[in-house]
Amino acid sequence: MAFLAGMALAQPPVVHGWANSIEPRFLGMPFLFVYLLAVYLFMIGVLIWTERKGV
Amino acid sequence: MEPWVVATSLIFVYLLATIVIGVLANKRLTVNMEDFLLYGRQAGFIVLYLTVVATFHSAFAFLGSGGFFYTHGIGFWAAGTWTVLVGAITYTVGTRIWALGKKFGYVTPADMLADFYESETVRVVVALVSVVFTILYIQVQAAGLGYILNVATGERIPFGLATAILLVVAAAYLMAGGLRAVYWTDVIQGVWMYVAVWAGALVLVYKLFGGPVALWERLATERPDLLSLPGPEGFFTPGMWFGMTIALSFGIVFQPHMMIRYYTAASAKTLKLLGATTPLYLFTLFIPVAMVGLGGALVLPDLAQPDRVFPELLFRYAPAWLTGLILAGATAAAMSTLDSILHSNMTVLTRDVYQRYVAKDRSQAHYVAFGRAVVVVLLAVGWYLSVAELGFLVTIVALSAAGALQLMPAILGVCYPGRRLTTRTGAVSGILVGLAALFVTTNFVEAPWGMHNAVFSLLLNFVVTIVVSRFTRPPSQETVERIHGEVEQFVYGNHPQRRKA
Repeated sequence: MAFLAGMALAQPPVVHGWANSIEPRFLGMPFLFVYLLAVYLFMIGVLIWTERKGV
Repeated sequence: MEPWVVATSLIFVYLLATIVIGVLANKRLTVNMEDFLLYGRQAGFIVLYLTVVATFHSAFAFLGSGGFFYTHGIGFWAAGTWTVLVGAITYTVGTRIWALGKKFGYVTPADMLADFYESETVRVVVALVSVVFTILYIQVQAAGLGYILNVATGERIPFGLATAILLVVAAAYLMAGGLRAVYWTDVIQGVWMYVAVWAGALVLVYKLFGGPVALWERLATERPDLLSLPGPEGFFTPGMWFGMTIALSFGIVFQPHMMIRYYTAASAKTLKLLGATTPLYLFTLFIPVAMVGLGGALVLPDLAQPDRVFPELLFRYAPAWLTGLILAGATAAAMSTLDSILHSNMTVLTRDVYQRYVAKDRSQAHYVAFGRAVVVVLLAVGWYLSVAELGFLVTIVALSAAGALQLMPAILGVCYPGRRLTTRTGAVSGILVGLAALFVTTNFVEAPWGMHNAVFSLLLNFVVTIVVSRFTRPPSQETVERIHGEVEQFVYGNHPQRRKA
């Protein structure tokens, strides 16, 4: 469920609406880029956690 | 020393290394199909990890995706969605495919589907889809390789000869060592391409902009249109974003060269760890590619062919040794995909066609020899397609990305036990309707409601599969209990393989 929630956050309408912004920037990187980077890492974290739990 | 000499020398050193590996793999080869075609089903985590990521990323990761960032901006960062989804599919569906392959000795995707649906028609349709929609990737990768060597040598080796040299090398180590040679070369290729793309991007970004932060700052000031959706040309619409996520995750995973990799895993634990961690490699490769593509849009704004942005930047601004290292990395990216497709087509044609319908009950050595002969034929076909510049290929290649996606309902029907069963007629009808819809929406009418044509055809495929399955004869109770019982025991029960894992 956490993975699916992450995938929803990386899909329209979120990415084309709320997240579709250059500001605020982090280390010069636009918000959209950093936001998606965080979501992708979250989803990979869920997969690794699941694997460690032996599910 | 001139840059082209250094670049060409490094590429040939790399090619020599792959041939040496092919010879070493040949010394370990046992002459039977399971070893030649499936690495003896004993691939461990590191080998499997690097072969999966190297196969997933083709020449497109180096050349095409840089061009996408250059033209359409940050929208191609959507690549993270499908690469992470590939990990989840491997974790959930891939392990079930592995368990069934291990238990019932499947070698190809058609083996599994024909066994469950008790149908030779299913076998033929799946084998045809497997071959037709991937054989043209041989042409795409061969053309990419020819282009790379042609550029690296400053056009001193003509495109046709360059393509032939690289195809012959890939075919040679495949014929010598089978899938073992493919996996071992993929280990080098997977490491080389990752290091090369990161090294090249960082050197270029520091040299041209003073670092990544300065690059992003300049982009925000000079080309803000590249940093938001749907991009300068309006390409990354919501429908395109979602469609590419589905087509380039499920579509690639269900291609035969990826499914066969599931069969080769040593254990379910290996495959789960693979699913959880491969996205780290797959999606982080696009970070340096984004810097190259977006940076190229600032420095070389009028490139006639955006796909050339990476090599163009290298030849103008990078030292010769680095250019050679990176072009050898691009060669590795293309060859690792090419050899896998050659191998999967060889496997399908040998197992699903020759062994099944032409020459039953021959020796293992006979089938291995036939497989090697198939590689020679594929080599000739791939070379011809790459130099012939046939106009209709453009359409078929465009279709091929979503072609394997049409196997999805049939595969899920095998791997996910449910109260309502998918039938052979439902599965075949769904695949055929999905392919027809894909053809029509690619060539004649746009997919409705802003949907990506791959998603539209897949939805239609699911509807037809479900409806037809309601009114047609399901597989026998004995087969359903045997195969779905195995899946249930693997997922929920005290399965011996699960315990072992």
